[in-house]
Amino acid sequence: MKTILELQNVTKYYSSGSIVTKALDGISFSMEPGEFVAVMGASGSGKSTLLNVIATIDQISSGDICMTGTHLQDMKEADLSAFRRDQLGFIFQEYNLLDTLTIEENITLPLHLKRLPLKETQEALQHVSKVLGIADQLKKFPWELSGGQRQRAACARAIITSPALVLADEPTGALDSKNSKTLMETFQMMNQSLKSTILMVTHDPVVGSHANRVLFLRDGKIWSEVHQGDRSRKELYREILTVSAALGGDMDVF
Amino acid sequence: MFSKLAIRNVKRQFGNYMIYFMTIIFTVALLFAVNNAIYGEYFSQDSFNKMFRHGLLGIIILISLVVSFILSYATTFMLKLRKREFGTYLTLGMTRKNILTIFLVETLVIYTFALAFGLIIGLFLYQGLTAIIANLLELPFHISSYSPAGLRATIMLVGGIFIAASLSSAFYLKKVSIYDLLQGGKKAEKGTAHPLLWAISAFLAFTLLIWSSRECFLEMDKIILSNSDTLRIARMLSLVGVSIILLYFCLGKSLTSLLLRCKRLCNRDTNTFILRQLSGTLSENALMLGCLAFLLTFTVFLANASFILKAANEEALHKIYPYNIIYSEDSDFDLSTDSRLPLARAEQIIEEYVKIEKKLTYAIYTSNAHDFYSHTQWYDNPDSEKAYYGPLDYFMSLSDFNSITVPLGYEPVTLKDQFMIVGRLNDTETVDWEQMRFQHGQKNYTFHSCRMDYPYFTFTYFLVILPDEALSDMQQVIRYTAYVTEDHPYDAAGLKQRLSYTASETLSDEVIFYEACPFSLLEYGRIEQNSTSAFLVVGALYASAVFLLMAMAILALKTLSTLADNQKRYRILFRLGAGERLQRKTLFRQTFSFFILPFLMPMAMTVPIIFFCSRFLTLAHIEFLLPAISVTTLAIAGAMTVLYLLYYTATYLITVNAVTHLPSDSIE
Repeated sequence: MKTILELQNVTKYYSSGSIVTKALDGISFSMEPGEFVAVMGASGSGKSTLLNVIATIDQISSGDICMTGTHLQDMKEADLSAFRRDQLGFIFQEYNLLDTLTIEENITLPLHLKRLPLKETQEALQHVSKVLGIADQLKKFPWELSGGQRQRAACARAIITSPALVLADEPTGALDSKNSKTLMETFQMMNQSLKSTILMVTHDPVVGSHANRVLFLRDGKIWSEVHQGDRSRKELYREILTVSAALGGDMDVF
Repeated sequence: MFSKLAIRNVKRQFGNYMIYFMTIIFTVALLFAVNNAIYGEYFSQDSFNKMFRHGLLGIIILISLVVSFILSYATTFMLKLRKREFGTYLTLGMTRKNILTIFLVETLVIYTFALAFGLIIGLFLYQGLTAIIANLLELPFHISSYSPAGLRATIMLVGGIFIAASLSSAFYLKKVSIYDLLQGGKKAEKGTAHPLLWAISAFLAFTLLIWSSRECFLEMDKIILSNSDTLRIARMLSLVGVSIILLYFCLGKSLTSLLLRCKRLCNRDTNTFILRQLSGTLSENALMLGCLAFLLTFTVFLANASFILKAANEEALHKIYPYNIIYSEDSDFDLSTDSRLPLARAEQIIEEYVKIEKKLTYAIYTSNAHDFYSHTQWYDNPDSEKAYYGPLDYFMSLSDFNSITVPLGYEPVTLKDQFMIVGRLNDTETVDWEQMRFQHGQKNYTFHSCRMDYPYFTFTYFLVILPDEALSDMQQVIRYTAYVTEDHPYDAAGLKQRLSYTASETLSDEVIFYEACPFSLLEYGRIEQNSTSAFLVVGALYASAVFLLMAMAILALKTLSTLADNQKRYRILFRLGAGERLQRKTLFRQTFSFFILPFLMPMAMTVPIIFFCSRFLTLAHIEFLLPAISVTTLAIAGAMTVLYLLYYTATYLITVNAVTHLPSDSIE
C-alpha cells in the first residue's frame, strides 16, 4: 500500500536570543491511507510542533517530510498554500470557524479557494452536511450552535475537499465528555466510512483510544508506539494508560 | 510604576498609535501655521488684514472645537481598541483611576511628541501658507519670523484638545463594565434584517439626492438672474446633505447583504469572506460613513466655492472700478457747505502717491421721468397704496460713453436715433426693450441693444445711452472725473484717508456725522478684496484640510480596531490554504472597500461641481474663467486623493504587517 505520510529524522529548533530549544528530535514515522493515528504526550513534548510542520505552517530544521510523494521542505510558499488547500484538512480545539460566516459559508470556503464550480460545491456541501448531521444548521452562524455542532461543522469543512490527510489538534479540548464521545464517533465514521486518513494530537487517553495507533512523544522524540491491532478499544485504552504512566506520569491528563 | 508601564505600552502599541499620532502631528502643524499667520508680524503692518486675521481666528476656534470632538472620539476609540488589556488590569486589582492614569500618561507622551513633530512641520507649513497668503494679498513674499503668541495659542489649543480627549476617556472608563472590557469584543453581528427594504430606502435617498441637487442647480439660476428666496437654496443644500447621509446609511445596511445573495460572486476565492467581514462593519458604521461622506463632500464644495468666489470677485473688481481713480460730484454740490477738499488740492495729494497720466470726464443726466424704469420689475404699480415708482431714468451721452469705453478696449458705439441699455443687474436683459420707443423732442428713439459686459460707470440698475442731442435739455445730476494713473501698488489706504472728510446729514432733526470720500480707488478696492479672498481661500482650505484629516483618521482607526479579530480570521484562512498573496489581496479588498466608500461621494461630486461652476460663471458673464476653475477643482480632488492614499497606505501596511505575518505556534 502506498504511504500517505512519511517523516524521516525530522528535527526542529526554536531560538530566542541565545536560548535554543530542540522541539523535535529526529522524529521518523509513516502513515498508510485510511489510518487513524493519535499523538500523545505531555506539555512541551512537541505534539503541536509536529502537527504544525506536517501542516506546513512551520518549517523543519532538518530531515524530510514526504506527503503523497511530495517533499514538503522543498516547496515554495505559494505551492504550500495550494498544498494545504488541496491535500490537508484541519480540525482545531477552538473550532476555528469564522464567526462572521454562516456554517454553510464556513464549510464551502476551502472549495471557493479552489474555485470549484458552484454546482459541484453545492453537491459536496449536501453530502458532507448530511453525513455529519448538520444539514439543518447550514444557515446559522457558529455562535448559534452548540460546541459539538460547531466541531462537526469544523469536521465537515476539513473533509469537504477530500484531503489526503486530516489533521486534528486537540479536537475535544473545548467539549464536554458527551460531545467528546460523539465527536470521536464522528471521527471513526469519517475514518471507516469516508476512508479519511486522520492524524490527531490529544492528551486524553479516552480520545486516543479511538485511534488505530498511538504515538507517544517525550522531549521531541517518539518514546513509544502502540497499535490497536485486533484488540478492543478498552484494551487499547488500558495500554495507553500503562504507557502514559511509564512515560513519567506527567502528562496533562494526570 | 504606572508611568513606566505607560511608556512601555506606547512603544509596544506604536503600530496602533501611528495613525492617531500622524493625525495629531498634522493637526498641530496646521494649527501652528494658521496661528502664526494670525499673530505673526508679517501681516500686522497692514490695517486691512485685521479683518482677515479676526476672521481666521474665528475659524480656528470653530475648527478646534470640531477637532476636539473628533480627537476625543478617536482617543476613546484607542481605549476601546485595548479594552481586553485594560479589563485584565482591572481583574488584577488595579483601579479605574490607575488605568486612566496609565492611558492618560500614554496619551500625554503621544501628544508631547506629536506637538514637537507638529511644530517642526508647522514651521515649514507656515512659510508655505505665508507664500499663499502673500500671493493672495499681492504682498511681496519673504521668509517670515515666527510669533511667540502663535506658539502659545497652538500649545493652548492642543492642550484644550488633550483635556477634551482625556475627559471623554475618563467618562468611558467610568461607565464601562469589566465584562464589557473583557468580552465586549467577542460579540458577533448577524446580517441586517430586511436588506431589501434598506435597498429600496437607499434608492429613494439617491432619488432625493438627485432631485435636491437639481433644485439647487435651478435655484442658483434664480439667484443670479433675479431676486431669489435664499432660504430655499439653504433648505435644498441641507436636503442634499441629509440625502447623502441617508443614502450611505441605507447602503451600509443593505449593500453587502444583497451582494451575498449573488451565489456566483460568492463562489470565487474569498469573496464571501470579504463580504461577511464588511457586512458587520458597514452595518455598524453606516451612520458614521454617511457623516464622513457628507463631511468630505462639504470639504470639496467649500474648497471649490472659495476659489470660485475669489475668481468672481477678482473679475467683478474691474467692473466696479473701471478706472484707477474716479471722482464723483453731485451737480448741486456746493463747496461752501461741504468740507471736502477742492479737486485741485485732491489731485495734488493723489500725485504724492501715484502719477496721474490722463483725466477723462463724463456726466449722468436725468429726464425726471420713469419711461424706461416703468418697463422693469423695479417699478411698482402706481395704483398700489405703497407705490414706489423706482428710480428716475438716467442717461449718458454717446460721446461721453465712447470716450470712457474706448480707452478700456471696447469698440466705439454708433447710435442712429437709437438708445442702448447698459445693464448692471442680470434682470435688465429679461426686459422686452425691443418694443420700447423713447420719444424726446421731435424724435423717436428705437432700441439698439442691451449690453451687460460694460463696467459700472454709475450707481444705477441700468444706464441709457443716447445720442448727444437727445440730452441737450436734460438735467445733469452727477459729474465724474476718471483718472488713469501709473500702474504700481501704493498706499491706497493712506491716500483714501487723506482724501476723506467728515460729512454731516440731518435725519429727523438729528445731525449725523460720518466719514465720506468722493473718490473710489481701484487699488483700495483691490487690497480690500484681496483680504476677503485670502480669508475665504485660507479659511476654506484650512477647514477642508482639517475635515479631511479627521475623516481619514476615523476611517483608519475604525479599520485598525478590527485588527485583533482580523488576525484570528486570517490565521484560519492561512490554514485553509489561502497563501500570503491571497491573504494580502483579500485584506486589500476588504480594507479598501471600507475606506473608499465615503470617499466615492465627494469624488463623484467633483463632476457636478464643475458643471455647477460652469453654470455660475456663464451666468455671471465670466465663463472664460472656467478652465482655471476646472483645473482648481481637479487639483483639490487630486490633493484629497493624495492625503487619502497616504492614510490608506499607512493603515494597509500596519494591517497587513499584523495580519499576514503570523508568528510560529508555541511549542507544546
